[in-house]
Amino acid sequence: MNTFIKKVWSKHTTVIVTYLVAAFLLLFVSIMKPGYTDINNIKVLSIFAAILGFTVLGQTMVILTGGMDLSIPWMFTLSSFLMASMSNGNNAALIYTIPVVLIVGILMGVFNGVGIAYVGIAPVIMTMATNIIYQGLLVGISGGMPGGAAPQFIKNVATGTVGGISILFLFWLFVSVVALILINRTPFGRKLYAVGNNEKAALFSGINVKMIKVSAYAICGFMSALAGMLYAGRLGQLYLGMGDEYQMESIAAVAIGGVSLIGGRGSYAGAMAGVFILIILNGVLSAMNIPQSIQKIIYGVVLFLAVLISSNKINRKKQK
Amino acid sequence: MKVFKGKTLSQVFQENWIALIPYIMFILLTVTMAVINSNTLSMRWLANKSDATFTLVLVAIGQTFVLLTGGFDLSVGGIICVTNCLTAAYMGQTTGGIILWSVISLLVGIAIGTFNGYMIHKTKIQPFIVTLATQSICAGVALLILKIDGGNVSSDYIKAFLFRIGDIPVSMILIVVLILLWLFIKRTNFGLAVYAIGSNEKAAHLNGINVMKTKVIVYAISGFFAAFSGLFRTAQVASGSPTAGLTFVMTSISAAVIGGTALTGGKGGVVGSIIGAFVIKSIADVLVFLEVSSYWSSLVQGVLLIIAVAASAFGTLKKVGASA
Repeated sequence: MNTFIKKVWSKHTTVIVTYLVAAFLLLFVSIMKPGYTDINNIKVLSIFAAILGFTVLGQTMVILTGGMDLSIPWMFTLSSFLMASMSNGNNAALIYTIPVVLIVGILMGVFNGVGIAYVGIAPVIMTMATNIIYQGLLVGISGGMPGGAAPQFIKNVATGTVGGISILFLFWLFVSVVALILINRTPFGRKLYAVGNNEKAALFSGINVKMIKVSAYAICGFMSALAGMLYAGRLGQLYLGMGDEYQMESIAAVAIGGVSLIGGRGSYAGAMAGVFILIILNGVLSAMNIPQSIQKIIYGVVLFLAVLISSNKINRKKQK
Repeated sequence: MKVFKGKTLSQVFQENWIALIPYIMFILLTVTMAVINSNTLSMRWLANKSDATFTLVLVAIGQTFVLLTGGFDLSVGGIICVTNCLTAAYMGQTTGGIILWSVISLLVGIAIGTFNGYMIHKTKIQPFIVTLATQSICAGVALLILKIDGGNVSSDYIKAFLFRIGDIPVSMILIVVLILLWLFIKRTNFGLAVYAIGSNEKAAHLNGINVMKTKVIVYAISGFFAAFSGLFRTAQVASGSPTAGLTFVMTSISAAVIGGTALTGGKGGVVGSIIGAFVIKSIADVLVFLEVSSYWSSLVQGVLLIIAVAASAFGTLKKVGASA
């Protein structure tokens, strides 16, 4: 038993430490701010965790292949508005709205992936450009005033509970389990790591590197669309720019979770812990009435430190 | 001419046609403007255009230095926000205050750039991440200084930046000076080091180039130009905005890439980027004249960047193919 614990510990140190930090942070806040761990507050936090979690899942896939997706904010917002305007508050319309929105999400991701894998544009540049292209599409088509409303069903999913736990959160956990199996237990997952580790080696061992990259971006588009659609249920009123925070936050969560931003190293389980840390941190900052400006500064510092720590570890491992 | 060594004119043209694209685009756009609107091509129009493009020109110059070393600077947007807000919020009406806060702003830009360069080289974290982090920090600081657009800008300050000698604006003179300065720097050891690092960092290091020093200077230059751009924006708009600088990240990279600077480093130059900046502004102008709704402008910007990068990647691929 002892050797088993040792084995797990040595294999998953980063992930375990990240969860411990999250738990410690939660404990710290609940002592500092009585009432923070109140059941209602936890429910709100778990909703936000789920929405960030979906985008982080997509971002993790992309980063594992050595890429980066900066276009999450407007894939998110575009999908959200597309759902709202297509269904316009009508539950029945969701039967075709949800598939259409998810397909649009996938197509946006595929567009990113094709530009990066087949045309050879640097991921940062490609997704930075497509981010504002998607913004332009939404704002241009709707004439700057997109409308519509989220149907009751989406609202129920986003804010409802089952046995006191948020439905959305449970849904995210379910999707995450599927994703963990996909990443850790299937050939596709191993190929993601292989492409991120050494693209040339992956190519020579017969992996269709371009296809793997495109699928990673497609999954990211799908997840952003899903997150955007569900977030519409949480928000009373949709607004342009509702997805902006998810650009930094998704990358920061992945980095905090110990996933190497160069690709090929790290795990989605770690990124999930990164989501918890960010959400708890967010809650702390807003509970302490810290303005948005300081939050931005803290995000920058946290991202930087997280990457610094994980890159130091990689360097040390290489020296060994 | 050294360029022609052992090559015919058509060979030289074939290998460098991509470098000519920005100039051709600029000429075409200017002609289009002249056709659409007969008021163009007067000295006054050129002067206005120069003033309007100058903020982008400055950022693009700084960004080009960084791109040439094979790096990235996403923090330029944040730096513009910070210096824009600093000057608009604190400078007041006195000459002393104006000079003091202008100098402080430029120093802030240099300091942030130096931090970027040092961290990127020391920690080996990708430039993109380090500058994204500083970008976020800067955006936060700018919001701390000014919550919403505002501030109080002295009219003397505005006059100093938008001053015209006859019909020639300060910005145009500065552009000429900066081009001359660039042509000089390009030939110095520092200029050579910048290109060498962008082409092959290891080889540059082995050849005795101080990679760390060069990188720090390059990012400091980018920070300086971004700060300067923020100062100019304060005069141009006569107010400070905590978010207005953020669009410059994309447009500065676009300008450099349209101007022929490769994102992989080691290829391109400042003159191209300046032309690239004018191309971007001209396209925006043409769209306005064609009465395209401004809602589409961000779409056009994004498409433009993708096309420019794709063309540049295509050109590089072709060259590699030809040499192999």
